[in-house]
Amino acid sequence: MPEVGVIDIKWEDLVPGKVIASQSYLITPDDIREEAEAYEDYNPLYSDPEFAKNTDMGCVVAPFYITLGEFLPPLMKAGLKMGINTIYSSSIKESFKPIFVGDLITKKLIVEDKYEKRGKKFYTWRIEWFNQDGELVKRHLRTSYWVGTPQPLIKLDRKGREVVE
Amino acid sequence: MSEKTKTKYQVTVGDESAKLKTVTFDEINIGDELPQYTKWITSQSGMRFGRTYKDVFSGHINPKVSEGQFGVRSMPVQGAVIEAGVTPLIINWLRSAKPWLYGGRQESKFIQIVVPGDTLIYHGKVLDKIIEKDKKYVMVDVFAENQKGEKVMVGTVRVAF
Repeated sequence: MPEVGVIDIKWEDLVPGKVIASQSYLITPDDIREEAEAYEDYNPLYSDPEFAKNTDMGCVVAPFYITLGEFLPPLMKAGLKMGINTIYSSSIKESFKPIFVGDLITKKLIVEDKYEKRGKKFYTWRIEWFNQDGELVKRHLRTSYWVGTPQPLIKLDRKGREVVE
Repeated sequence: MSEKTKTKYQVTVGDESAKLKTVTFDEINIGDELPQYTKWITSQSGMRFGRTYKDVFSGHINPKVSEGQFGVRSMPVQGAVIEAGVTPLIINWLRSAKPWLYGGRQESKFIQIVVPGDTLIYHGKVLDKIIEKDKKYVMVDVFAENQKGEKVMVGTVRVAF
């Protein structure tokens, strides 16, 4: 995951209840199609308006698992570094309403919890998605464990070549 | 009842006015098993998903970082890729995305890594049916196993009617 931010999030910075970042997105047909393709899910409900018209949804809709990069884009927007120092361990995803093309979605990233168990440090993000009417359309509780920055860490130089730190 | 017709070339055509057939709450029974869903994991699986968040060098796509991040060089795919296989499992079973997008819930735990070359088979079995006020829910036990029969992800799913 890209470490392009400038501020490193430390374990101590993860305070339950703290809103870390938020970001808004205008949902386009490409966002939905690319997300489904990224998961190798080729159901045309996510890409073909003619096909989708004949389903009980009636139009193209975002898949349940849509992430829009999950927590990373809001972190990067806020100039925060974090990503490869964690491993995803469990999750609870809920969809309250479908997300359609043209929806304006605001994703909020909140620290839900942090704890230590069997010598490992765990923390949970609460990622809430609201639509243009302020309705909660999606919620994701994502628990990861903290592994620290791996070594060697690979970065890219301006020519796109790998640089090993 | 579907009204089939034949063209002048004796080609059979389905009934264009027939309604969609989707699985309803009443048609589901506790203990029902869902049709399995298979997902093949290749090195492209992690890379495709990584592009959604502009991943250029994580352990999911770079063997050197993989060793530092996961302790293996085999570039495990992202957990999100594994849990996403539950969506086609549910939609294919219900023949509809509605009960999944209006009130669906998925709880997942990752048991072990999944690497390029693995074949995942997703299973589901109906655990319970619940009626609460004007909502009807079906709870489903789900898991994904690899080609060796090892469970890689377990979870519980709720669909809402």
